[in-house]
Amino acid sequence: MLLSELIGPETIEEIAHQLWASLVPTEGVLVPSACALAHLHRASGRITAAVSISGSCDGTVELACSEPLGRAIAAFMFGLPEADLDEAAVTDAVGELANIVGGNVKSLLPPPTSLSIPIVTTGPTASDEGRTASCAVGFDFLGEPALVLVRDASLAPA
Amino acid sequence: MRALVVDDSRAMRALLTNILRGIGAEVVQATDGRDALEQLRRTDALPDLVLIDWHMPEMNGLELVKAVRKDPAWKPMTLMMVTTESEHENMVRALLAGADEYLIKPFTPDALLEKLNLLGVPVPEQALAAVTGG
Repeated sequence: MLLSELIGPETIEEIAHQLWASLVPTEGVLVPSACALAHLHRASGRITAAVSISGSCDGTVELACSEPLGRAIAAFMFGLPEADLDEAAVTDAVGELANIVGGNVKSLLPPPTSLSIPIVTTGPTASDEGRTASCAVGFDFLGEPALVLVRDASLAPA
Repeated sequence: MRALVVDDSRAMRALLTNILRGIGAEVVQATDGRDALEQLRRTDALPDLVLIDWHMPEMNGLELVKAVRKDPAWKPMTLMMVTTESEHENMVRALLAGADEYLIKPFTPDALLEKLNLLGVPVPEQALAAVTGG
């Protein structure tokens, strides 16, 4: 069974809005995923966190955001000024957000399914990420972009 | 009130710690189930409340709940799962293993304080009023 048959953009939007309301200091506005992706490509820095789902469906859930948005999220979660955060704190915070999105996606899939720990990378990733994703949902946080991608395992970039 | 926050994410530990310190709790942290058990065995001042993530390396949250509930001396501790694991079957497993409450991530601080209040954990009136609008 394909992940994309069970998880659509509406589901991701709902999960992400709950996440933003809980853990992000500013409200995320839904934008076309292509806009968020283009904005991420232009951003000076970006952070991508991915969790793998395996079992009844195989695939990945990724959360990418600009580095300033990642720092703002980390500052909120740690309760510290951005200047006091090291890079590990920022990647941990973005990784936890991906873990939460992935966990909520997993709960909607037929058992058995398991979720990997998040893998966080900084800097550009595969340039065709929007094209190969089976579901992509973009958000804007006062000019800072975020993108949630769901990929079926068969579509994951090599 | 003393609390132990068990989560492999630094950011989530910090978030939960800040919320609990906001209601006057003394908070210590553990990075996984094994770390939590070691701290519980060493301490002279057991926590009143333990917040436990499910998916962690070394020892997961469900295993920690089972281990804690095996020791009668630890029975007074209130155990709350705070996790993305929201499958009904797993929630039941955790509660049957001895967890007292279950909170699914993402959560708001208000949701956590409401759960604590329901468990009888002392939450200052001012903080609770902010949650309930009272």
